[in-house]
Amino acid sequence: MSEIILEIKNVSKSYGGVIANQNISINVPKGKITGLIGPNGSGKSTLFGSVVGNHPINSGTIKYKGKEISHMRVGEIARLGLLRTFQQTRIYGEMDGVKNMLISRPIRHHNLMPSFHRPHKDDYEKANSLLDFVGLSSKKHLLAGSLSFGQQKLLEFAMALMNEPEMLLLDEPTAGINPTLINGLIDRLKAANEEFGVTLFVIEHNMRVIMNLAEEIHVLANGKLLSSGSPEEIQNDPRVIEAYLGGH
Amino acid sequence: MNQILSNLELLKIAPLINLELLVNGLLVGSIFALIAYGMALVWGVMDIINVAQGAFVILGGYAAFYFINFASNLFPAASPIIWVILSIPIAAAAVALFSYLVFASVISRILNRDLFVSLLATFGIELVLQQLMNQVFTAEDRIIDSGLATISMFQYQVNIPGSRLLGAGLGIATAIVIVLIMRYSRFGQAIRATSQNARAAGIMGIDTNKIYALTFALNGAICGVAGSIVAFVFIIHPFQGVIYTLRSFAIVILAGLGNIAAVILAGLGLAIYENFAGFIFGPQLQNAFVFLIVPVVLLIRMYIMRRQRKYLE
Amino acid sequence: MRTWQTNIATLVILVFFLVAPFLFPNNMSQLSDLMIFILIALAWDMLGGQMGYNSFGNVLFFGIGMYIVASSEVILGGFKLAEYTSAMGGNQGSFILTPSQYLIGFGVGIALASIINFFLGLLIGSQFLQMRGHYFAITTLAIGVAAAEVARSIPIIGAGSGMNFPQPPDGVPLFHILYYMGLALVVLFFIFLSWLYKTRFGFIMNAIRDDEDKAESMGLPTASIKSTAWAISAFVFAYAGALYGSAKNFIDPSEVAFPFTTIGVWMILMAIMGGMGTIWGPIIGAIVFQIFKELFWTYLFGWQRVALGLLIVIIVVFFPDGIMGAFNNWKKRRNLQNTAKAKT
Repeated sequence: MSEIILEIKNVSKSYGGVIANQNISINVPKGKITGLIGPNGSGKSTLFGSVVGNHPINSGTIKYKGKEISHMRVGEIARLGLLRTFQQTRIYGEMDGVKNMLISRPIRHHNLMPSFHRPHKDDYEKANSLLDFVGLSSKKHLLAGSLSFGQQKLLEFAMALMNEPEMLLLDEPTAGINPTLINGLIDRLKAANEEFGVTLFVIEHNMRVIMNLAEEIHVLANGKLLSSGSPEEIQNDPRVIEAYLGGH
Repeated sequence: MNQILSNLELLKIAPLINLELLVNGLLVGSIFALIAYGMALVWGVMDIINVAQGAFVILGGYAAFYFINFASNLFPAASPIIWVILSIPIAAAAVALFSYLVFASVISRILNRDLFVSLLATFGIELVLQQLMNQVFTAEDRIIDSGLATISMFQYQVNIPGSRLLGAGLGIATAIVIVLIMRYSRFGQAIRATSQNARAAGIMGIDTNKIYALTFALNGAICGVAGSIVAFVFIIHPFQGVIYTLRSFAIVILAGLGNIAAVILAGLGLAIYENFAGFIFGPQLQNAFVFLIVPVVLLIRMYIMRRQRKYLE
Repeated sequence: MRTWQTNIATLVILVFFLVAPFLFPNNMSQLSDLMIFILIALAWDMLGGQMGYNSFGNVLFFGIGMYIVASSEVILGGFKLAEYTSAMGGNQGSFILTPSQYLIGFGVGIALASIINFFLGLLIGSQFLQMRGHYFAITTLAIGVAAAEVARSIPIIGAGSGMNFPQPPDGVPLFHILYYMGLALVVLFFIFLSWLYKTRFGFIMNAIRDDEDKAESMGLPTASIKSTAWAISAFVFAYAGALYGSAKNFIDPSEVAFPFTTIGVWMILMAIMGGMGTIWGPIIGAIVFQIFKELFWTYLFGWQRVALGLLIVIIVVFFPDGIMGAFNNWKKRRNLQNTAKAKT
């Protein structure tokens, strides 16, 4: 059993009267790729939001590298090296790809003085090599807002890597991406995990992708943790099949 | 400081002053609430903040003033109160027509732009309108004499101008008419549908552009009514519009959009608050108290939302 | 835009501004107003154009700066502020400053005004800049309006009847001083902004404009960047306000100090006219606006404010990209045509 980087324990979250997450406990091991699946509305994105501090939780604890973070705000958590991406891409549309990347260089402190510098040569090199890594080299001088949805997702992923996170929460990285490009993206995610040692925690709807990618998968249904295990175990778990097919 | 304390003392010694401040606040507040409701309607339905609201009110006042002048010269024997009442639909129609022209020429072109753009564009309209009124109607104060006496009670300790009473009554009557229109007419339903989800309303076959035009014209009519009330309750002057704009603004911020009951409560509350603040801290600080309440209220709302890690936007 | 052509253009403009007082000695008040307009247009655009925080409330710093300078001149001239303001009714004659007293009071005042407003900007910004979008615009509008009303009720600065500046002593070329002080800050601020917009600080300001939530979720120090930018802008606004008040020689709370219907809208109009979010836009916008304004006041007197209102509506509705926007679009189209030509 490897070291646990993220420990979610008995987390509950409700909006108004609607319970989105109920008593969820998940451990994410460091340096691995962990999957999070579940039908629409099962509370996956809510759980991500709770982890990175988008909203407060009602009860439970969330520990990142042994440190309680559930009371912290999104910026503070990001400065600890824990980032997320969004289902709908979030990029800076009025700037080109390189500037998007340069902005994403990490700042891990409140001191503003370092920001009164022009970007260094290393920053440009790193930006270019990461854009190359996700295959966007030829598009890097276009306005980010003019890129296709799939390209924006790749850019957002590259921006996240530029921030040098230890752990990255990816919300449906392949949704909306041209199916012919998905294999390449899986390859990039695995490469990011292996080359940069980034722990990945991935929400994914595409079963083929997640089974291929993750070593361990957690299944949410109706806001509760339904099942956890290896891809094979999950694929053969009758409760999971029931949850996915039950509504139909 | 001493002045403030002695004013407070006065409120304690002569409790009837409180009553007078309260009643006058309620009467004046109902006129402000009417104007603010028009602003909230346009803001909520069209996402446009109409800074020219006050200038529309003043325009309505001039329409009423000239109509009454004209009519009472024609029929000098009739009681002025008849003309005051009749001036209301006239002013409403005039300002509604004017609003429609403003909509067609300017507002229709900024509908999908940022709210900030609407602030600037309608500020430009306000400037043009106020200066035009200044040129055409001159800067003289205009007032309509409703012929109503001041009602005094408790041995002249509580004085309530009859014109205010009439103005508030007419304001309330207008508000009731508008609520009925909004609730029961097809037009009202279409407005509500459009404000909730313009795209869905469009798909359902509602001509949203027409709804926007009618909403803006309806706001013009409301301003026209308010203007003719203002003409006999207060005074009409080309540059006085900003008073009504800023107060409506404060009321809408306090009340939020789309809830007429909240707008009325906020309008009455603001006027009462303002009357008391003016009495206690002196009339020169009355306006400061009105305008400062906007940032204060927004700050409080922001701090509350912050705890949910949300933003005021 | 970093070609030798722009460098030469910049140099030509600078030389023109340096000699302008000799070319137009009869238009010194218009020229010093122009410097003030350039300053406030640049300072407004720093927040509105580059950071996406459209504010109506910068007149707050403008007015406070003005009051500080006037008070500094009175106090360092050896008078009591309360006596001065209460006596302003008719006997201004008894409050005479020597040239050195006047200049020291002015210099100390303008430095104090800028620095105090910088910190005031930090303080206010740290709270109000947590609001987003139009709530921010509305709040700043209300603050600007309220500031005038509050100033109206403070007797020591003349309350509603306003406050005169001490009369500039004979031999003090006031407008030349104001003009060159304005120009000095224009040059410094321009150099500063050209540099700032290329630093990470400037990049993060742009990121806040494009998607603040994203910038925050990447751990960027958005809150302190916002407050600092606001404070820098407050510094410039106070400086500009100090010059403007000195030029008018009289402070009226709502017409001169906190003029949310004139300066408070003009600053935005100039930035939009020239092109928001560009460094040259506010400068060009200020120059064009000042020309329009003077033409209106000269040839349309009586109707000048009607014309100005129409100008606002037309610019905002029909030309939101401004002059620089049109220029950049033209350049882009030309480049596309050129590449299309090169391909065939």
